[in-house]
Amino acid sequence: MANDPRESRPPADLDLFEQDPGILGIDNVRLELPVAGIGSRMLAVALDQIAIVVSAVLWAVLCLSAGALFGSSGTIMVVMMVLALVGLLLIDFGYFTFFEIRMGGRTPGKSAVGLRTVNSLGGQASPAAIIVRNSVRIFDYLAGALMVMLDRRHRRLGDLVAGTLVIHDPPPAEDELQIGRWPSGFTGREIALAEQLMRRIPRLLPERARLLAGQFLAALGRRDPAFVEAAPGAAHEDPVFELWRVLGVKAAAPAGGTGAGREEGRS
Amino acid sequence: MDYRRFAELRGPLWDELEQGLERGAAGRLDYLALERLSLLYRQALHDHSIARARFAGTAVARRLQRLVAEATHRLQRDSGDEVPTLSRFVGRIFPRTFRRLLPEIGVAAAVFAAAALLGAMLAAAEPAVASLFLPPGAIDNLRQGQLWTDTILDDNPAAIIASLIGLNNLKVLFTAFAGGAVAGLGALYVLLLNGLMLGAVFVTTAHYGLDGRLGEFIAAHGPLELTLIMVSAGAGLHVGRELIFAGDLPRGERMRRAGRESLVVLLGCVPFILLLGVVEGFVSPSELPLPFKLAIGLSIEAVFLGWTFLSPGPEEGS
Repeated sequence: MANDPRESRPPADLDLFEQDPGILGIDNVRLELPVAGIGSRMLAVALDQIAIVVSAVLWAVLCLSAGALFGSSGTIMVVMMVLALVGLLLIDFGYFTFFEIRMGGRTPGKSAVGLRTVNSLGGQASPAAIIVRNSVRIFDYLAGALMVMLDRRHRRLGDLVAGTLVIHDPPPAEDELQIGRWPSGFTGREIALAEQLMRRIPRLLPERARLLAGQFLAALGRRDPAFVEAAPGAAHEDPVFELWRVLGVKAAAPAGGTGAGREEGRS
Repeated sequence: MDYRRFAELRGPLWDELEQGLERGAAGRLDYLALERLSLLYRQALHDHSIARARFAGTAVARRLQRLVAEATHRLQRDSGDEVPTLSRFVGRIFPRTFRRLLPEIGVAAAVFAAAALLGAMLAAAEPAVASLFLPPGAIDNLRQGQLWTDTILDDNPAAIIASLIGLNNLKVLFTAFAGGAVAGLGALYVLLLNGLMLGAVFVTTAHYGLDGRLGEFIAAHGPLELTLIMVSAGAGLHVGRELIFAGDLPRGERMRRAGRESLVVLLGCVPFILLLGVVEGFVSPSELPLPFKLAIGLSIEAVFLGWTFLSPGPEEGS
């Protein structure tokens, strides 16, 4: 039927009546932010807690040693003990807040795991938001993990009150390996599949990589023999290099880890 | 649009945005360059949307995802979340926000008063109730006419006591504030605990005829300390109220706004609570006469309340 309403139905991600429109940027364009889950967040917190304990012990030992070393009078020892107490409070209360403000939403633990705190639109979280989210941490030690598991965007209590998210750092530019040619009629999904294969091949065992590359070349040949024959340059015996040549692999970013560089390095 | 044509047509713009972001990170952008950057960002957002719909998972889509995430992080800020100058915070922001939160602070004061009354009634019926809130052996000492505060300086110097008290008070304040996030239950817990403690301890010391000496001990720091507990708990209740009664706005947005307002009130209380640690460590256990201690207590209370109620705190932009 020509006027079947199902045919004019918008794709699922354009449904105007869906409950959660996702994270909307300027002009209501939906952003794809890689929100961090429970595993990576727990790992980052564990690393930060280790850093806090080590810093606190070092600070206390430093203050008390200095007090014992220079403190022939009781006054110096008292001053050192007060300094130790204030320092311990600052480390305990201020560690997360200080680093997240100074390091653009990261703490040493988050940096190690590749996470950062952003505001609800993916922008830089303000100092006020960072102070609020970390003030609530005392209750998040009780319920935070459960909240992160249950919430759609993996937010803990502090994130809800502060309006923040924790996201993965974007993938490095070197991962954006791009193919330069493909058979006519290739869809976006097929291009993505070919590029994904090319990204993974260097990480596979050589035999496995050759096998997969050979299979993919054969599939390309069956689909469009003229496309394979028209590939520029001299043919390689190794199916990996041959696939590299046939698909005209190049890097999206001008610097670092390009396909061309990789090909030259191997040949 | 064809994938290759899309990448070739827009690629130079993405390159320009990347370079602009790098220059911006190094602080080398004039006004025109910034305006150009905002246009490029908007273009990249739309391209990101096209790539996600038509070429999902391709190198171009991945590049745009990275570029848009990075550009959003560098260019997007929450409006109205800038760190204010100290004079603006002291002169306008804190008094105005404090007065806006007066209903919640009033509720906190009422809950505290009710808890204190309940504590007093419980202790009147059974004086041993106070032992729940006092150090071990304190009741035995009361029987011998000695307050637990009499020996506060015996083991540690006043400076260390002041630091410990200041830090503990700070934790109480932050707990009351943060407790708002759990529907205000944490704030209520702080109010009930402190109210019960005050009522029970006062009645128990009165039972042994030592209430006058306890009053003398808390005269310098007590009035403002109780006020600040109620204020921070009121700030916590404000967050809890916005969580429960969200109204038209999304719950997350209401909580975010309430969190900012409550933080302002909390930060205004922090210097006073640290000052109270010094007063409690040095003045309260001293041999200074009661009128002098009372004068100190009422003065710092007056300074705090005067700041919050008498500062003009005009509306922003007026």
